[in-house]
Amino acid sequence: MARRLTKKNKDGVLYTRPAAIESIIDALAGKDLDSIKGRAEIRSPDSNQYVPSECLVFLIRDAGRRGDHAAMNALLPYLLARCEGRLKGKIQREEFADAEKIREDILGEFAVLFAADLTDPRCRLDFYECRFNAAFRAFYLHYLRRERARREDLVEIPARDDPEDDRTDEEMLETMSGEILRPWFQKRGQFSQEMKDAIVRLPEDERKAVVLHYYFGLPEDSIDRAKLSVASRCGVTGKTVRNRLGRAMKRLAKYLSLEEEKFDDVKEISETA
Amino acid sequence: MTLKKSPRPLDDVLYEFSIASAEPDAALLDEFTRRYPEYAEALTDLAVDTRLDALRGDKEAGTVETGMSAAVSRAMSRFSSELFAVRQTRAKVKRAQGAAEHNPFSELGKTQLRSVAEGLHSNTVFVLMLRDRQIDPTTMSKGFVGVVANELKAPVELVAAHFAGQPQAMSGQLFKADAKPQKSPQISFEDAVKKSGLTEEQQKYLLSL
Repeated sequence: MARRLTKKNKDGVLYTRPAAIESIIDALAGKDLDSIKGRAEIRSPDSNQYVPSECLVFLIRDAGRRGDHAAMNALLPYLLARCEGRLKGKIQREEFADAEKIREDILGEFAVLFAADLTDPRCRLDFYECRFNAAFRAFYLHYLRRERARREDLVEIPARDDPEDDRTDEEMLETMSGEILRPWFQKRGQFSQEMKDAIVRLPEDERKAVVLHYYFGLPEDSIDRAKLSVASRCGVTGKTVRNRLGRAMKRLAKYLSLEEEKFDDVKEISETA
Repeated sequence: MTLKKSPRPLDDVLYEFSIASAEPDAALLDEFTRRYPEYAEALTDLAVDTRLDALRGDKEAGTVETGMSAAVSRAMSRFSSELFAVRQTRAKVKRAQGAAEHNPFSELGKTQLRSVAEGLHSNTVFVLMLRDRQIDPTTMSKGFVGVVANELKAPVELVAAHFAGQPQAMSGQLFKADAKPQKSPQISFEDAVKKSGLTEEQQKYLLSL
């Protein structure tokens, strides 16, 4: 049976690994390092020999506690390779000119957690043994936020320049109410890649307002100060929120009109059928 | 009414928020920002970033490389350097703890204490202050520490490590007070010499070391 985790949640209850993770750890107990390495190399979760990243974290930490640094050195690269694959899909040159360096820095900082774990009483790696992908996501998102704030090198999305669309911004906005946008946000994957990129590249304050309002469904403002709203979460007035949303809609106008066309086409086809 | 300060570090709260749900929603954000109002901004930023991250998809990208990539290799170098530093620090801490735990005065009986006091041209009050680390070690001269080590017949490093340890409540004695004696703040070497009831000649000698 694997060593118990020591981190407690906000209610003071000890975190536990999912049962499936525990059973794979138990099954790997006593296996030699070479056979574990062979399985760690498998990257497809569909394989019945696949070792989830949560288990790899356990095995690396366990080796560290036993002073088996050779095993740590042997297994950590497999975990890092998986993380690298994930980062490649998330951090690209379109947003960061030096995406490779950023990915490398994140990997380096993540690797350091395993060395620090030997003396660090905070046991942050416990979270990775429960839900690796979510914990790693929090790790790299925190890094990226720091990096964006440091550089402020967001690429501005280009202004609408579709010559065939002669509607004014105001006319365009009239057709793009939240009622149209909200379902798109809530059904992930419905956007075109261009639209997704455009949202990601909005200026920080507008992006935050758009996601909180359209995805999380928070009202722009609320008279009840205890109630969650975009204004309360951004620390601004309702009027400022509306201005930010308006500016964001203008920036997204070109992409939204394409989405509208697709939406209309699909509707037309289904009505004809 | 005062808000109770959260003892949880920000890192923990962000991780906890992140693993609480596959995709955070308004209810989860509300729950966490109410519980940790001091981290509300960071939690909101993470919630927004998580949603935007989901727009990029969750699959691993790029070709699966055989062997170790350059990025993984460099990350492993950082890991090895950090591991080396951690091991060095642990060894140092262990050595320092060992030294601090060994009190070179602890095995001295009353007669030996008096003998050390005489050897230092002082009295037992002053030696007990040394034993209990009541004197700020940064105000002691190297010469004085050397003389003490010589009287105790102990290595200078051991005596210096003892003085550098945490001050102790005076132990092994009976007290008339109702409460257990507390650790008192350290005083300077000069004040200790002046307040130990030493003769002027003794004071002059100790301050000259």
